[in-house]
Amino acid sequence: MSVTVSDVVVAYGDYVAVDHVSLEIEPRKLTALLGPSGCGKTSLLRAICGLEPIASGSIRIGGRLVAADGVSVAPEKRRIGLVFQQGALFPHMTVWKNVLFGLRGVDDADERAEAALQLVQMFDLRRRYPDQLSGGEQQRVALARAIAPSPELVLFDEPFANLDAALRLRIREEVREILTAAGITSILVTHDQEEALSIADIVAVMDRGKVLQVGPPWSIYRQPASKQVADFIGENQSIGCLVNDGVATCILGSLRTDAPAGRAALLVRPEEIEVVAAGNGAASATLLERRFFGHDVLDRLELQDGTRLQVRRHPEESCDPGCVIGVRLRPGAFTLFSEAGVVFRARRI
Amino acid sequence: MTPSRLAIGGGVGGENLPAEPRLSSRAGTGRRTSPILVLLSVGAAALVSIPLLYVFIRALDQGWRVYLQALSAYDGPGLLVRTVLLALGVVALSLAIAVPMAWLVARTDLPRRKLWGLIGAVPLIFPSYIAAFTLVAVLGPRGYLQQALGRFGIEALPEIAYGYSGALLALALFTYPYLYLLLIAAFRESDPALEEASRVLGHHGWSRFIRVVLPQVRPSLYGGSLLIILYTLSDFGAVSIVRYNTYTLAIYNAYRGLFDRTIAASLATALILLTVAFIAIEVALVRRVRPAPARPRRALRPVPLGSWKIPSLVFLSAMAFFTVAIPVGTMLHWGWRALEYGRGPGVVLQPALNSVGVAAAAAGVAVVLALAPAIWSERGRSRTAMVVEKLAAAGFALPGIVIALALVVFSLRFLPWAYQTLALLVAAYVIRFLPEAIAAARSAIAAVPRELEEAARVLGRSTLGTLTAVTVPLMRRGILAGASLVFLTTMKELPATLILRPIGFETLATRIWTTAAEGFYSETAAPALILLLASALPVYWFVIRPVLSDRPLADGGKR
Repeated sequence: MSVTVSDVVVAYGDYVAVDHVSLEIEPRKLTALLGPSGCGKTSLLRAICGLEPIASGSIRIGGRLVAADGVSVAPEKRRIGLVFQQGALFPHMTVWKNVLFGLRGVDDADERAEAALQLVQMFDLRRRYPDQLSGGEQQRVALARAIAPSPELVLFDEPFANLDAALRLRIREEVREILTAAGITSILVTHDQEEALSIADIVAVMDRGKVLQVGPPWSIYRQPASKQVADFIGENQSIGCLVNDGVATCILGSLRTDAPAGRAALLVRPEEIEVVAAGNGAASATLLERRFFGHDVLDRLELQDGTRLQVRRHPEESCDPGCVIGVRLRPGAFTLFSEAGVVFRARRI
Repeated sequence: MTPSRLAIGGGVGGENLPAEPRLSSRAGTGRRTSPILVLLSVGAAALVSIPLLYVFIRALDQGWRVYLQALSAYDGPGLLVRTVLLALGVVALSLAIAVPMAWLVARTDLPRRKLWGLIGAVPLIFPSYIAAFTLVAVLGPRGYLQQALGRFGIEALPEIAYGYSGALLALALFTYPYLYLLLIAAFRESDPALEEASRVLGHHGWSRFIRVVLPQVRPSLYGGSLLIILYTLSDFGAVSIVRYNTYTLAIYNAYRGLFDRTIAASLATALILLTVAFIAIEVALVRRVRPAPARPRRALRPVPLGSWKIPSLVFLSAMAFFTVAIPVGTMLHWGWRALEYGRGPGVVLQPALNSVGVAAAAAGVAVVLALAPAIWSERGRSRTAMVVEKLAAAGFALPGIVIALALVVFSLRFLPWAYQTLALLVAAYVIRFLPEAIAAARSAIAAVPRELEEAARVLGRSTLGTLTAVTVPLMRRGILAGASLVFLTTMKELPATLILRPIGFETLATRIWTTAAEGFYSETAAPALILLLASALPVYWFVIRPVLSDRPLADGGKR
């Protein structure tokens, strides 16, 4: 089931939370709305649910007009599922009653509730009350409750934010698998870019009420459409380059590009820098400090011109602070911002 | 988005962005309120306010001249002076008791603070007519004190049990806990850093207490004083037993003795206006208090009493003797005498059943009526909703006798079939005590996360379906608390019961009042003891415990 958001505005008095946003949600895919808090992503989600009225524009779910000027289908008539940040399970009902809640008037309610609970592996705990469940278990029940009525669209409002790190990873993988298996269209609101990039099929980056870029995770990360997106996604660092005759000359290497002649900034991710032996035509850098993350280390370097860079490396590869190493760009495609802030692609020569 | 909003935005990292706006402003705009909710709320407000407005219409029936005549004819100016003097005297005496008592319990290293804290609140369970009955039984002619002194040849005591002094003692000794409980909470909230600052600046002892500690608790001082004034203005039980003529007693006598209800209605309007004037003064005083800037606070260190420990304990013990031991002892003594005379508690069975019956009916109706205005004002947060809620809660400030009179004149004019029915009596209780049910329901709704209601909506329930399946079930505790409070206060209600009860219908309250007023103390004891037993637990649970166990007294720690 597709969702079409056209030119939607959500306002609270004078404050415009969602500012003329248009967005196409593809059927059977998981779309993440990613942005900092206050960017309007939750307001947009609530508008799709019908929990927030829209000031202008229109929303269609599966071709059916649910919100527009003079049209406002009540949330209970939109046939969607919603999973809240902390589950929002009804504390006065057992797990079983919670899941049955959305199945009123359905013939095979018991079978469907059982199937939903089996899917999230919570059927055995169906007689418990929400306060007798852990955070992860509550979120699984919340998911079961949302999908039990077989909605064709399920919305998630920061559903994993309150779980601890290890559990968060596991639960979100499980949720991803369940959604894929059931072929459900879903929208996930999150401020966690790692979460959005790792489990979403499509990521929509939002800031200050606007959608900045929509695309598959790799393109959001590798080919940001603007400086804003580049700043928000990943550890952002840029180095100065000089473009002349289709070639950008930077301290870490040269790239071919369409950018106009003049100064430019090259976006360099920490993992796009290669460490080689000092000399050898590579730029030489001094290691300032290391931050250890287990699976890798982040080295903070200073180049000879004073530029500071972060480089992601294998833990075994690193040397001690103070050592001098050579650095250069890894081969591949890069993003270059001209002096006017226009985005260009660049490829290392 | 406007440029100014963008400017607030700052960095992309988001730290500088305004907080997610939905929490603060979500309720403000765009939400539609169920028309049924609005209708029910307006209905509840109308039920409360229309009869009260009608008192004014009735009083002015025959024009301003007759109205002013009615006011002055029945010793109007004297009533005004006596009522105001009593209210001010009761507040002054209550302050003198409550301020030191609350400070000792909240802020010092007094031994067994928790127990003393509880004992100080006990007088709350005595209705004013029981307090006055005790006073007369102890201090009155042929009272315990007179009997004891008679052995030493002292024949005549000054009649302090009657008139102004009697009313003052009966009301102040048993209403000070309203102020006391508010002050305990306020003393605990006050900022120790301010006291430390004043100490460093050279202020010690009394100077610090008067200039720094008391000003911090001003809102509670004003609020508690207003509660006591409202209680005194509306009191009928005590002033009628000690025969001190205030507005309430005058209204009652005018209603009973004269067929012309214009005088009673006129006096009622004067009492309403006096009440409104006191509320206005309190509002003006509180408005002048500047709120302290919020900042993190450290734990309060209990003040060592040192050599003041013994005097403090003597003070608290004396208060406990007068406000707890004497009333309870008096009632037990007369109860024992009644058993000796061969009158068991069986004779109060019917009044007890009647009391429980009307109180249960009032509690049930009040709780149901309270739901709509409470939900609308809490969830809707619109100005209209607030006004409607305040109107529905207007009965709180009004004396029971005024509400009863309002219902009499209103029903005689518009619903003659309802006059002298239990329905009208229950209506008076509901009008008087609806605010308690609304307050309880409001805090219960505020505790229900909005997300749960949204979850129910998305899962296919309508607005009303969500209320019945999710919101109301989750409010159970709060609704039960409201019902218990209304039940309890209805059990104790006297003046409205006296005026509106059908002929021959007796409750515990009316039985206590009639027997005490006529001096049949042995018949007063049994219904009084039953009423006290019935009210002790709910008062403790819903009024005293929340304040005293707010935070463990022992550690004095801050949240």
